[in-house]
Amino acid sequence: MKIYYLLITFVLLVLSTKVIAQETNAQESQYFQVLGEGARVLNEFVVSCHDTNLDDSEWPKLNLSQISEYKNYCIRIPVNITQGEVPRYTILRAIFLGSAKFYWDGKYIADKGKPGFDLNSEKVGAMEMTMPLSQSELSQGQHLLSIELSTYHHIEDMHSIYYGMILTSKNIKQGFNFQQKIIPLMLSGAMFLLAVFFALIYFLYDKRPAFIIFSFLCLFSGSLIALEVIKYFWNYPWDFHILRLRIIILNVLLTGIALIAYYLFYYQVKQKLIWLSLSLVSFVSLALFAPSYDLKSLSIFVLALMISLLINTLAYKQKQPSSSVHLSILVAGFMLMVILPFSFIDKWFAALFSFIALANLYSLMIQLGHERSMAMQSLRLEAQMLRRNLQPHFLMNSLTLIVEWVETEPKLAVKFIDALADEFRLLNSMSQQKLVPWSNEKTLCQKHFEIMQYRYQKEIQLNIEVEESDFLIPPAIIHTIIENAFSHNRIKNGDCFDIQISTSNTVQIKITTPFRNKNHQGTGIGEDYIKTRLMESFDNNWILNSESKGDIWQTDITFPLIKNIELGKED
Amino acid sequence: MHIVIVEDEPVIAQRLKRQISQILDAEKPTIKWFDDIEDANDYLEMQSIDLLMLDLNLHGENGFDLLKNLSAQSFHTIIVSAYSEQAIKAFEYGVLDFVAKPFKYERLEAALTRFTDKTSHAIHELKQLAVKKHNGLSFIKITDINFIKADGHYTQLHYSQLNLDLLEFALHDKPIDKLAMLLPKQFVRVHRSYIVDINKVVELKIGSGGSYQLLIQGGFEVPVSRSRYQEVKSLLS
Repeated sequence: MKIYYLLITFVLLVLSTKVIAQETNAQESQYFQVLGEGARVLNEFVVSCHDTNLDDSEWPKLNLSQISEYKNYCIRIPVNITQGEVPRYTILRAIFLGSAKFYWDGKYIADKGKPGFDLNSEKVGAMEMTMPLSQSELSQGQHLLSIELSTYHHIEDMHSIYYGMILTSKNIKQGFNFQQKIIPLMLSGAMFLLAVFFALIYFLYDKRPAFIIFSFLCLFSGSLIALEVIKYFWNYPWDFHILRLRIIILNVLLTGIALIAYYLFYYQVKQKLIWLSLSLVSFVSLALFAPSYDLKSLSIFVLALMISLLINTLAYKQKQPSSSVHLSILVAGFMLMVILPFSFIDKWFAALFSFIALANLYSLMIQLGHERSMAMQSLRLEAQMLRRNLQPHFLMNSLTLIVEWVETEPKLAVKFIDALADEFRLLNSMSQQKLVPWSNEKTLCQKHFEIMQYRYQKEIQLNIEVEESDFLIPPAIIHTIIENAFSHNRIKNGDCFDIQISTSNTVQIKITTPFRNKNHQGTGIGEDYIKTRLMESFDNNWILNSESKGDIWQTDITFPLIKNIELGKED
Repeated sequence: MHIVIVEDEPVIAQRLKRQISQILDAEKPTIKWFDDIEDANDYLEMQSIDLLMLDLNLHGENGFDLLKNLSAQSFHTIIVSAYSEQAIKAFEYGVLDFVAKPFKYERLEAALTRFTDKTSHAIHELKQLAVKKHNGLSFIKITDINFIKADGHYTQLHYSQLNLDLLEFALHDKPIDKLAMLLPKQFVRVHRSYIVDINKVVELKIGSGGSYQLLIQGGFEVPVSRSRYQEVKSLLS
């Protein structure tokens, strides 16, 4: 079963991340040329920068990816167009973190902000510059792209601020890449919706920390995905890019912390603060000291996953509910990291987070359902216990006895009413508990036995042998057996009810009661009650055997020993 | 008068016994108590009795089983039970009364009076009568019965189902005197051996020699005794 979980989630993850990560191979252009080969660069603006006739062979060559911060450049790029005729709508695209002025064959064509000599004279432009060039401008042969470029508006040393410059024919239909934009948008929308949903659940339904943390987890992963796709919709100023990357790192960090906090609260792990502060410290140090932004988010993400994996493994060992599902998702995520290339990091990790969020949603729903049925079950058990003394046969016959004795033997009536009141009080106090001290159960059985002695006016005996009386037992289970013996059998003088209890690491109870009703097999509702109670407290760690042995009915119950530590509560 | 109490709780049985003796003091009843259905059944198979006081829950067994099992049910039954919701079912079995536990002396007295007063009708409208057929107990609707004829210790129920004219008849275990007490008011004793549903009379005929007959739906003729002629005539007019 768990293997299937793992397989299914893994396949789903691979498919979805594949879909989200598809980017470059979907973009086919009729014309595509990377510019920058053989660029000559001066570290100052010169008047002759755009002169087509200038011999720049003396100028130093520079790989454009080495353009760095707080400088100004004059860049001359030779462009050799080999194709006779380039398609219409061929554009020049330039993406880098800097302001620039572009000239084609010595003629000014476009701006990307305004380059300057220092912070004051430089004006920031958009991240990406696109400029269509006419077919005549792009005639076959040698051309010159010259650029004045400055990079003063940086707030930190980025190491890599040049992303590329290309000539490309733009197909308008391809401009809108469905997978690239819509799926992340949908994902982030879903995450925001989940965030609101769980915030509402927290505030209006059940103030459990796991809910509000989950709400934040959804909020953070939603905004993380949104921050990734924002670049497709907003050509923001290039000095905002670094701020965006910082916000992303902060977001990754918050998401990681929220993920860990969620698992800590979900599994109710002890020492949450230690876990959280340790993770926070390591995340912050990764955010500060990892060499690049991609590495920062990757390392934080990997660490968050590993810590979550650890928490889930511990939970799985403790057989916590839903831990197998979470574990499968996380393991699948880990395997994905090995399989998928590093370059996809900013795409698929958001997707993986969405999957984790969905898994959490799933298990929260399972948990809600489980808790609801548990609550219903304990209400049902409680009602069943309380109803016991309200059953017509018990109640009305007892009242008839009282009527009789009030008229004939008032003192006996008082004693009988006393015993009834005691039993009812005990049942009432025990009905809301899942486990009660043995002493309470014993008193309840003795009271019931006393009442039945009054009713049937027979010489009968209740023998209880207990090795160790300090243990907990589900309420009224032995009471049920005794009650059943009375209500389904003809009780005769000299009948014996025996209860023997031995304890080791389990509690073993053997009960024998008279058995004369050959028509009646099993104990029906009574047995159902006992089983449900045992299930409620011990899951499947119990044994119940119930069978006739000649003219006695023997019931054997075994369940784990839980010591009653709260001795003060004992009567 | 012979009375049997079937009740599994001795104190309640004692109470019943004491109060019945008190109420029926004049009849000098002999009262026998059983706390188990089997024993009671064995006894009732051999002995004919007048009244059965029956509890419905005896060590988890159903008191109705006793009524089902008995081959002859010539006695009246009064149920004394904690399960008042069983009353309707009880009346279907043709019991005389249903006394809910816990009961007062006055309530028991009322039930027993219904038993001793031969002219009284059942307090509860009897809806159907149980008859034993080879395949077990079956029920005949009271409204289907046209007339009833005494047949030794039994009675013949003449009835037509689904308003058909086709007459059928079945044997019921109670003698006509006891059955008369259970039936609703429209059933009139027109003769020592006949009870008629007055609503199903077609015609009152005067025969030769001053004899009277009632023509019943379905074509049967039922004699009317001279002593009851006036009463029957006034009921029909």
